[in-house]
Amino acid sequence: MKKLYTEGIPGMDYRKLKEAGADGVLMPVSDFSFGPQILYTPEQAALDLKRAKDSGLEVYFKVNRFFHEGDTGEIGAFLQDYVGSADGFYYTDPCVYELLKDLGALDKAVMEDDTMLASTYEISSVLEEGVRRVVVSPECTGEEVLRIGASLKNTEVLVYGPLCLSKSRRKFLSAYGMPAELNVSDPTGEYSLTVRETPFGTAVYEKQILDAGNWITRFSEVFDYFQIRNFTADEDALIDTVRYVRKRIDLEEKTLSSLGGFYSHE
Amino acid sequence: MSKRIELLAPAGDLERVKVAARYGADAVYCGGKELSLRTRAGNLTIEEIREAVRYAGKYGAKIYVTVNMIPRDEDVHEVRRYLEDLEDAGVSAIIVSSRYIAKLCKKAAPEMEVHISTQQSVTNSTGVKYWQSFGADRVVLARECTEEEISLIASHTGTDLEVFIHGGMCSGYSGRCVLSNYMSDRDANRGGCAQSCRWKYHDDQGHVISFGSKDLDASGHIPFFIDHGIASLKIEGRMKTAFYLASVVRSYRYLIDTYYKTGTLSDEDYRKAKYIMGSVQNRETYDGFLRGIPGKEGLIEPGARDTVAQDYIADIVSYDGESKTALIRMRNHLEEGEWAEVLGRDNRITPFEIRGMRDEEGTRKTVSNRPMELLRIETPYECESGDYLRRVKL
Repeated sequence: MKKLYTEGIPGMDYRKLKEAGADGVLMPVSDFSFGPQILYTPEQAALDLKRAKDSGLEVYFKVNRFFHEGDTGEIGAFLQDYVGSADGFYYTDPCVYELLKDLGALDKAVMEDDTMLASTYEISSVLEEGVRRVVVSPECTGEEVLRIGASLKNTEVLVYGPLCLSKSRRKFLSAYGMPAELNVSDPTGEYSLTVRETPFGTAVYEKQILDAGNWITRFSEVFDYFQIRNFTADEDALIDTVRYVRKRIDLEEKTLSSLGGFYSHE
Repeated sequence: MSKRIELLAPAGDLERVKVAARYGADAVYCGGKELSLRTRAGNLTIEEIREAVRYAGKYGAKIYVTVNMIPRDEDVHEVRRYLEDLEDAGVSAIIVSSRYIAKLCKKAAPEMEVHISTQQSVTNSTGVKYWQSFGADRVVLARECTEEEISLIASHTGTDLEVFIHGGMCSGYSGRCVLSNYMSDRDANRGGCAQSCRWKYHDDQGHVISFGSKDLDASGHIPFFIDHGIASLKIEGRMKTAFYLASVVRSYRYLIDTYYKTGTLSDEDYRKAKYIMGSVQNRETYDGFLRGIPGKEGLIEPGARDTVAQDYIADIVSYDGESKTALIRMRNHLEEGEWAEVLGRDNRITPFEIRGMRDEEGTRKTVSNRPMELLRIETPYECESGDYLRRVKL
């Protein structure tokens, strides 16, 4: 069974999401995640956890920011509150791993550290720590991703959504007196970025979103877990994307031609 | 106070290892030819690393090697042999961001310590404990930590902690920025960072911003670090020149030693440290996140360029005590009558007027504008090979 997970929209119709082909919903929690865009407040997450579960979806919380000394109590309390009801937690900071270990819930830890998890060796080391799954770095080439998926079970691949280029504790936009989200381009105009500020820092995204296209079908030969990162507050658009990705996963003929992101790099 | 704090300096090649050790670093970190993040630094062969260990040992300094690239499958095939070679060369520690390499080092080269690189962005004591249980001997904290957070982390953990005190800052959490990958096709986490954060960016309303950070200067926080039991103070900059290193290392050496000696650092001490450092700093500085999350004061002006100081005049090749002259190798323009001073490892820095310039044939010269030219000048104060002659602006 190929499982497809997607970041959701607070209050959305989870039944439709399930029907479109999603197996689980990922909820980036506003206090604990850089995004990408659509965040759940802890209160919304609590409400939607039940609704999504009732629709037959697995539910994961994304708590994938860096926690500074002083923040760890808050994330610890959140994990404790939901460790019994959520299917898992996507994390980057090893403090989340330690906290889940203390709760005896390493089987709910999903490591998602975009840049660091870029080799079979590295991912294997994380899996040996007893986590449930590891998300492969989207900076890998498609061939590297295929090699990782062929070698290791319990790996997940990002196939659709915004790509984060930088996470910072700095608040660039408010430093310049600008709104919390801004689209900028480099001097040549060749690259467009979306800069988004949160209460605990700034994330920079490529404006163009990743569509792994035909790679999705190729990945499905070796991967069991696929992820969509949300790019829109438009529920219909998200559901259409889920349908599209599910179709690609289930395709047997590899005749599609669109390629995306670093997956197409040599 | 616990054990004496370490001053850790960078070196891009063997020459700079020697300068850092000679000017007072307790340990020097450098890259090998493999798996290091500064691919444009010269980096050292195993034989050079062996020589670095031998030379640094004369000054009681250790050598650490950065193996901090985020590896892909093709990068790691030879890593076991490489770690064994490093251990055999006498390297004291590797600085590493990869879990796989850290684990392998513990098995294949157990004599070497494992230091967790700032690439892992460790920002809390629970994260430190994770790496401690992983077998790490030291954790380099993220540069995003405030003084208060560092204090709490230090009080909650027993692992050696290292913090950055001087040099370049990333705009994002280290290791979590791939601006360079996307915009220059140069992999930031495999040694190719093009510093795209320093570019000028604009929106369609005409606003111009930069993500680039000013450089770090945490000299004012040295008493805090010592008092809180931090193990090591790290200077950034494996791409920097030997002259830069000499100036920065000696300056921090002075501050650390003075604090241990007197229990305080006065304004005069800071003034003296600043004087020792001279004008090698080519970017604006600030004290990073130590006082709190920086705003615009921590950012460079969009499109700002590094300044180039011409104060580095020459290397001292030798000194003749009888004639009180020094043989110097020129690095920058110099005219007779200008003022200069010698920066040695521990000399008294005293300005003097340039007189009696002669070339190798003994011909009088009043101006030198040929880099690498050998000249002899009158030098009223004793100096030695390896010292630097620098300009004094009156």
